[in-house]
Amino acid sequence: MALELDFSHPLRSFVAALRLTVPRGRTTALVGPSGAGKTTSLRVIAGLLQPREGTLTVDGVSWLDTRRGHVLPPEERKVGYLFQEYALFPHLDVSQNVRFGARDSRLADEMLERFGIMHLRRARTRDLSGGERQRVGLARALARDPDVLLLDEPLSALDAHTKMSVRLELHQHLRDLDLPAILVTHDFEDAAALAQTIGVIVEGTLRQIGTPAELVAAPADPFVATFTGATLLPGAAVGTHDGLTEVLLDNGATAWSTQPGSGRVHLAVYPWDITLARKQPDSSLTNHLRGPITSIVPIGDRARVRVGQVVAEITAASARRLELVEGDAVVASFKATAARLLPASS
Amino acid sequence: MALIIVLGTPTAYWVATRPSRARDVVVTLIELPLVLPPAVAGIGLLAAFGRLGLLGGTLDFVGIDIAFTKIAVVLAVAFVASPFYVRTAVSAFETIDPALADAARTLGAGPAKVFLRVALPLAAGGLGAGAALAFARGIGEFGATIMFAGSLQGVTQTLSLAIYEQFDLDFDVALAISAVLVAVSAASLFIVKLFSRWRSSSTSPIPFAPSSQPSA
Repeated sequence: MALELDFSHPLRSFVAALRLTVPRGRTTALVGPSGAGKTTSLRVIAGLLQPREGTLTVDGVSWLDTRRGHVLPPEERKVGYLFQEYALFPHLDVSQNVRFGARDSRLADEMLERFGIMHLRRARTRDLSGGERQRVGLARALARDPDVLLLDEPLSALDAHTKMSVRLELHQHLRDLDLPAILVTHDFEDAAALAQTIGVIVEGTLRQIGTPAELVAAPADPFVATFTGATLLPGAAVGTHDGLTEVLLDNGATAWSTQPGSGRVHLAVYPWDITLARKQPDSSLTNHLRGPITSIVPIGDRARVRVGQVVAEITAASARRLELVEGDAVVASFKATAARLLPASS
Repeated sequence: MALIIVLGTPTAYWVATRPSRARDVVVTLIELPLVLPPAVAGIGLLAAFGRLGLLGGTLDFVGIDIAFTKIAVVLAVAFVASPFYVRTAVSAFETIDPALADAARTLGAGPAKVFLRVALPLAAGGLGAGAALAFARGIGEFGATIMFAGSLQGVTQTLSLAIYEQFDLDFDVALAISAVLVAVSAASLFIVKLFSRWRSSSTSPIPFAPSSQPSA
């Protein structure tokens, strides 16, 4: 029981071509830059866009098969669609919104209860807060008793303050649902927090798909690496010594990686793999990059420190202990195992 | 008036939801009476529906005679006043967020239900304003009516035509009818304002939602 999608459709400057299987009870996030074809995929599944070519099967039932000329209109597909800004009907109150597509009114009431919005049922949608609007949108989508749940940028309409609590709430709801769910976002962090599987889409094609941990552990190309938060250092692989690849970085420094590579490469390193010190430490940390601190950004109990080209994420406590200030010369160190090598071609 | 609304509303909806090139042609046709001199409109209607006109012959054959009857008045007024309604209606439908129609579709509503339960209620303010505008324009209709329907007292004479006739006979009567029309026109303009205010408050965009990017 799952959703199986395979379609191609020309967009303005490229052809979106996607093949995706989402099992029941799992949330898959499609992430990528704006205009990469993420929303297009959702619209194809919902039937709001008929692709030039494609097939779509949900729980064994065909919803779309362009070769056989079979296209189910959106109203006959059992889709729960949470729109980017929720698209609540402004002329209806909360309860009328939730009942709009409900199979029966009991299910609508159940959803009002479940999302804790029963007390708002007579409220006009424009009087609701961002978090409440999302709950109404989700309750309305689920009151239809859908076979698939689609969420388009569910957090982008929220301010930073409410985003965190709504994200947590959404995570719990997604976990409780026994549906194939597809979430679209441009934020890798949101995707990692909400989905078990993440597909990175660039220019209409799936670059890599896997669990959040898999993408971070082995990004397939430089784009996926930067998208998941890595810093890229361009350079050239010049040789191998003792199983380590020697990389001559374009900034003049030499780095070592446990991964094989040759020719032009990008060395990708994640902020949390980097440690900072005032003097070069004498340890098994094989890579040391010396440079001045160009910025320090505190985020809660962590601090993001930019040293030359790389960004290090260290605890706020160690930032205080090192008494770091902008302009200080420090050494950024990371292990050879943390240095991922990616061919520079793409 | 009913003719304009019954025919104009679906036309406006059709135009508003179709961003195609055919649409420009349709809009031009709809707005044509707006720029046409009323006398030309009258002649045109006469040429189309008159006894010797394009369709008149066929209509005459089945026993329908339109020119210089009450039907002619209705046709002339509808022809000249319809753009006022349709234009306002198109813009009313266009201001509706297309995501709302999409949402309704995914919630199981077919195109007809989307029109009735989402588009119509949301455009109601604009439709009311357009109807009031068209009504005000229709009352004052003179040129096309006199050409196509004549000014037969008790049959095809509208208030505006009566003013013209009484102007020669009894100035005070003309003045009295004019006073009535001033009141009616002012009232319909006020109604337009009321509808416009109601519309802007009922379909105003979400205050805190950022404008959506046309993401693909």
